[in-house]
Amino acid sequence: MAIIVNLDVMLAKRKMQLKELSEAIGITQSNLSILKTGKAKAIRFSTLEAICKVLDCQPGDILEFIE
Amino acid sequence: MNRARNILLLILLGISIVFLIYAAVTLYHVSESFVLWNPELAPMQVPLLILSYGVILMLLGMFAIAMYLVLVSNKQNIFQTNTVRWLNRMGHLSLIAFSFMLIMFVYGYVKLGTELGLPGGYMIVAGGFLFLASNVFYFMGTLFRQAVAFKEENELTV
Repeated sequence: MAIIVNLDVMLAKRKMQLKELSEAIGITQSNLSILKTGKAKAIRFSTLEAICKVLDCQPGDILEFIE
Repeated sequence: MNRARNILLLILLGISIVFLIYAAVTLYHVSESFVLWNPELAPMQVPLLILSYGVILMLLGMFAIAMYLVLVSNKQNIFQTNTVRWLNRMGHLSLIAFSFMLIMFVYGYVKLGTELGLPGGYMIVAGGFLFLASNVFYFMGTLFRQAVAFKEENELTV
């Protein structure tokens, strides 16, 4: 039972680098890397909103629940 | 201010350690004087000395860990898993010292009965303090474990 972060998939779909995303949403690359690698324990709504805005997607495209 | 307080704490802990070492050195002479005063106590001298040195050793260990934790807090964040481990170790040491004290009291009571008198009272008070101290250390360990978990969660919130 886990929440999977599909940020790398969305970045690949949008042909975007992590660095570009971090510059666009104003979050450090290391923090985004924590999120991408699944090490993050929580995500702020503001971060999720910014990511969704830049990648033009829904929260469900980034987060996935797997049993 | 914080640094000055830590230095003061280190000095106090250092004085306590010196005092404990002094107590360990003089303990043998004190026991000798007790035996000279009452030769009937001679068979009890060695077991009580061993147990007393055990208590002093545990106390020394606790003070050494406290000094280490103060030194660590000067250099880095104290809220780490390692700190929890050291606090629990202090609790274990305190509990072992309490056990030694309890054995000393029971042994003294079995051998002397109510003649144990004032030293028996001191043993009860010291044992009570050690038991309380061990509980406080375990409680602090639990609090620190929760604090470390909160800190990790906060650091890993993106």
